[in-house]
Amino acid sequence: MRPLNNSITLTAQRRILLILFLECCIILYSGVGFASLYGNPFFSIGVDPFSWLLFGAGIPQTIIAHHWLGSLLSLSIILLLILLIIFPRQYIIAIILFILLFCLYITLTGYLTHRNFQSGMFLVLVPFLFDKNNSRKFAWEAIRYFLLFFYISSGLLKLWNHSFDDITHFSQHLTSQFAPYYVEGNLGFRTSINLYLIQHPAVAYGLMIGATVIELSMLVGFFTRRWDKWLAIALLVFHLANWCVMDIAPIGHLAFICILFLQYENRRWAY
Amino acid sequence: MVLFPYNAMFSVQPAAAWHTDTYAIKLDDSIIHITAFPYWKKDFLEMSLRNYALYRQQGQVLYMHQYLAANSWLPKEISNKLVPQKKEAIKWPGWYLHYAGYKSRGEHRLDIIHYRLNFEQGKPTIEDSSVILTQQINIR
Repeated sequence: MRPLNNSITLTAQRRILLILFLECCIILYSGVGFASLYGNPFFSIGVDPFSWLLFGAGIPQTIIAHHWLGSLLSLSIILLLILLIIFPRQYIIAIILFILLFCLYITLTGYLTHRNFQSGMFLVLVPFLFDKNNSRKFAWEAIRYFLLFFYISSGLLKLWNHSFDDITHFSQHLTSQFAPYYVEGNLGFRTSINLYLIQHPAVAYGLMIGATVIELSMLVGFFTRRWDKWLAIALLVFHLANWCVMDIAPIGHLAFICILFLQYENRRWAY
Repeated sequence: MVLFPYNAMFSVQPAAAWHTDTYAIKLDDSIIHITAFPYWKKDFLEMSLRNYALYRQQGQVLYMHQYLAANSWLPKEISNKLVPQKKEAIKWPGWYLHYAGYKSRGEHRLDIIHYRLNFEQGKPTIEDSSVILTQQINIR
């Protein structure tokens, strides 16, 4: 049974890595990789020890200052991801890749000056950092719970901050989401949806309740894995809606969400 | 927090109801279009411009400057690396133009414009706009 279990598990893990690979290709292709930011003299980091660690050591600044280094590291990410897809048990490759993607994430959040980035791009690699089967299995469990908590905390904070006291709350937020599109006159179906929701606060309010219900529904995952596939689908719908309504794309986070599919496959086939 | 990018997003009511602020760069009076770029590049061009504009509006001060001034326990050589160097940061508009694909050589006038949009009537109208930075820029 052991070789069969392992081979099925590795296939599922490869699928997760493949999604991560595609996400990294999209991010780098869109022009926000290490090399694309070459020479950028402005950054703004938050009060966050993870950012301080790298920026305090001058690592992102050094990478951004040298085009050859940025190109080399971006290429390394792609090549190492391909290698890890082929050899998912090679934890040394995973460790190097984890460090590189963590650096990329911190660099992008610092130079993008945008906190709303996708931490899933390096968190999803945590289980691959371990060689022993038991450690790896435990790590899959740990990041699954972290993923669930990640969304539950977001839903709870909306309740905690009385976001539902005012029916216009979400409509008011939506005014800022497509502002550059309006200034440029670049209008389309997403700006039409945006305007509709601004004009109809009750509909936007209902949508926000739906989004919060999805976030809070992750609580189910703490008690059973039976619904993991549906939780993953709910999160993908949530992010698709986020992109349509709020212009926030989930690329960089999809592989992390898809670990809920992996857990389902593991439960069915491997465990 | 780096690990919780979604946490408090959209849970707190915006300060100015039915108004929003956005920024744009004009080169020789023509607006630089950013929204047609692929998502992450567009996000970069939008958010970094917004933060740079605020940085310049506030006299080249970021929140980190204020935080570090109030928390002086960090060694100077480390805290200096947590904020951009002022002399270097003022070169950012030139870098931005290059990144946005503007390679027309020669002297240009660059303006960073602050727009305030009003949605009270259900449609966006520009309520106010002001130039927050003008500089001559030489693209080589």
